[in-house]
Amino acid sequence: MATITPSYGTITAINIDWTLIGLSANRQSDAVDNSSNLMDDALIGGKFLFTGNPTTSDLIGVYAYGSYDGTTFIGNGVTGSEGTYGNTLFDSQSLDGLRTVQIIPMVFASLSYIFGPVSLVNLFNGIMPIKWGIIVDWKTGASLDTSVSTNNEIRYTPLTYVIN
Amino acid sequence: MATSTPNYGTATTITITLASLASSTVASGVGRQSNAVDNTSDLAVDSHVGGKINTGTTTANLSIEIWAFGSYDGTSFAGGAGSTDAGLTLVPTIKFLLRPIFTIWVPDTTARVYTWGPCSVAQAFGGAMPRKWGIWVLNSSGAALNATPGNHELKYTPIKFTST
Repeated sequence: MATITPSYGTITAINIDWTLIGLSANRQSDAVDNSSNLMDDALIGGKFLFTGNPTTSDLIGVYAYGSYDGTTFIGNGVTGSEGTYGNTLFDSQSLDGLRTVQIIPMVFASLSYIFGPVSLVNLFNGIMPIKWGIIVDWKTGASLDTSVSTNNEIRYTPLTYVIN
Repeated sequence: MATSTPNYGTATTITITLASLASSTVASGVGRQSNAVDNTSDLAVDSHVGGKINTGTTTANLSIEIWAFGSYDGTSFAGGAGSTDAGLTLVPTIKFLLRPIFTIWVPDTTARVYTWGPCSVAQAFGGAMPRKWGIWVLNSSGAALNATPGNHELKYTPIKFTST
């Protein structure tokens, strides 16, 4: 008789340069290669901390991109490498193929906005993409507190299912 | 041919102090969080959570909200929750960093026991169990909950799958 149980892998940071993100300066992460990681799922979460005072209409959108062939990425302008993301076809109404991980409304300064975990598989209808990554859509003029490197982060936990 | 069947573990109490929990407006969000449950030791593929809440004499047409919080890294919890039973205030914009589990509708003013669940924790997080998770209760019934601790309970049943 065998029993199936989850196995949580090493928590891993998604590479985004938080010092360069800002209003009109969205960022995309490096792609994560699941053809080598072979995860059954990835649990995504993170946190943001601000120095300034966001206004009540500000928000941060965290989205996931994927690849259907290991080379081409959904979402115009997605390269699979950390950098700016300036897709003019993308907004919160027209996601251009991106999947919504978390929308974070901004209300308070000096608060660590912690979100997740969010199942990546669920965002892609039950199967892990061969490659995937994160887009951060920045709709706040407030500045991140980058004085401590761990103030702002997005990380994932690889999840596999083990037959014991 | 192997058959996969659910394997229900021992129903386990989750510590949360619900006795005399004061009523709060949804806008104020003054609620109570439970101890965190560690799924890296339970290794459940899913957990069914449920319980009993005993109200005082309430105000009709209000509610009691039950939400799940998770951790993406085993340390930080969504919405700024902690790992132990404590008061936790979550205004609506922060509350939505958690996952809705159940809403108890309070139809009239009668003091009564509301039994809720079972609710899938994995489903609340998109199909995968977080490393750690817990429950947050917002009593918006219009009156404090019953003052006797034994009149409330919060339990979960870990579920694995067995191949026979």
